[in-house]
Amino acid sequence: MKIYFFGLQKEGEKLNEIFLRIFEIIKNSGVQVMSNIEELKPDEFTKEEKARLEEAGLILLDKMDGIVIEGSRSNPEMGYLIALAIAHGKNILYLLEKGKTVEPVLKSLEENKEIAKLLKIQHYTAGSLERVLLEFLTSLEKDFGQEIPSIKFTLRITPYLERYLAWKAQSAHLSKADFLRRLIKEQMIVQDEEYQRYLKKAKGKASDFHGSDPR
Amino acid sequence: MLFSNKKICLLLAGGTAISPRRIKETSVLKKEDVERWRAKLPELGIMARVDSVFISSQEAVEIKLEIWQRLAEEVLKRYSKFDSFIITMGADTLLYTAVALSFMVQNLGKPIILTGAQLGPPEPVEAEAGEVPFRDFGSLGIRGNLIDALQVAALGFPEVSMVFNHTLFSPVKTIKAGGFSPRIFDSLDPISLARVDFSLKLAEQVKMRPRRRGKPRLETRLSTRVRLIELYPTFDLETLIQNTEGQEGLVIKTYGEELLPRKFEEFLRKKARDLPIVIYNVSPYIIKAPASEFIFVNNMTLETTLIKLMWLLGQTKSPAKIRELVAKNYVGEIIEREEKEGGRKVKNLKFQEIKG
Repeated sequence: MKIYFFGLQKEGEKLNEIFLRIFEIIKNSGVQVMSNIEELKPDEFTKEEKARLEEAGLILLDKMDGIVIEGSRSNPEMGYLIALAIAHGKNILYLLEKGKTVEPVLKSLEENKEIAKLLKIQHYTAGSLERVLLEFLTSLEKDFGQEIPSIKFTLRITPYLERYLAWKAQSAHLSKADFLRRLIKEQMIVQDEEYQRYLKKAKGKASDFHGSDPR
Repeated sequence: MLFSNKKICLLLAGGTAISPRRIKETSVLKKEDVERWRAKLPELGIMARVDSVFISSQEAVEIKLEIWQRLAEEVLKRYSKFDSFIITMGADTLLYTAVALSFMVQNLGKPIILTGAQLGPPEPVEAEAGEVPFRDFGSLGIRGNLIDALQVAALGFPEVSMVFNHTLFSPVKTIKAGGFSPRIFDSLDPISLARVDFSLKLAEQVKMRPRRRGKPRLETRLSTRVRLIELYPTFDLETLIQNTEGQEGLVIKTYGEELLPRKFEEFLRKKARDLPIVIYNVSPYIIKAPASEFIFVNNMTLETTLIKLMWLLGQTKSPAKIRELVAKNYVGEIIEREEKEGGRKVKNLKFQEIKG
């Protein structure tokens, strides 16, 4: 999964601690994070990937699964990003520190039913930030309650592995891709105790959150 | 603040389809459709105050001189009330319109940005899991292009320009890309004016021109009696000669170093006494200029050459005067070419980032 994180970091200014925290929470959940803030040392596309994007008439945004914006300080460039993300049908999490007011132009967008499916405006505190982010990432993994394989992944294997995979997939009456997807989901994830503990922690924080109104 | 204070006038002259799949239902076909159409694009309101004006719903292939003149007049009428202008049109003839406006609106001090919907095929497209069908790319309907156009409008780039596929083009240096790529336009200069990707990256050598003061002047007279003739092997000379009758100017697109077939050249040299004849050949190699009766063009796009000749013929009919004015650089349409051993090359441009 790829997330684009945007924050207003002025040149020469000390890196905002909150930006660093947001970046780390998303990164630690196993997601690639790209960002406008170079000090965070975000992930980047390779030169070849950028060239392929340009050749296909695409931009970086087309390859993102979601956008996270820390909007406690805003500018027209942020407005452009939100508008473009909506135009491209991307999910956006717009974060505001507790106590900050939502700009009227965003409030009116939120009232639009179609836009409300894409744009989530959330206030946060130091204590709630992690659960807000994890809840957003979890929501991106599902589409209308069903998981849809949408990420292309190239895996090079040896002839020995390929033979096994072809034999096993045939026995299970599945394609090799479907077999591998089922293997990861139904065996590896289920049997990975460390990951199960991590998910429990994330769910616990999300269910804690639903009991209170941070605004 | 997210919202820019700029006031932008959006002139709708076609090319408004939001969904490539449902063109008629999501386009502005008459004045009464504007409100419904704007309601489907609430995200436009984040960026600036946008006032929409219905101009025309003509298909791209029906665009004529009268539409170009009307667009120029509508811009002038509203010039003092708005900071920038965006014009939407069908993509197929948008380039010609943009070139025409570049010449027609003189002393321009505000942005005029042209964009439109770039439509995919009408039939359903099979796609592999995880692949996005061509026509579902975000840029193909008007949405993505319009957001990028608003970004450029808010930055105040005081030129006539085009926005497509997250790229800002100078119309007078732009060509149709052709082929099967989703990129509809390309630049005769190797680097287009700017990339739009989370910010606006402007080519280093293309400085933001100081804003021109005062009202723009309109020079909207054009001659439509200009014929473009493209030469090809086995052409019929008699047919070619007939194509030159009744015209006020000719643009002959040639191929190869020899430029013109001998008999045709003899005919044209006599014709050149009465009307301006442009010999057009853009080649990476050094081409020997044709006979002095002709106007040789190898440093502009074909569309720009054609429209420029039409526009100049609106000002004067004198072949000698036209020859002089074709060489004049009105709106940056002349592409600088460096002489280099073994041929010419176009200057390589690098990008620098600009923010509002």
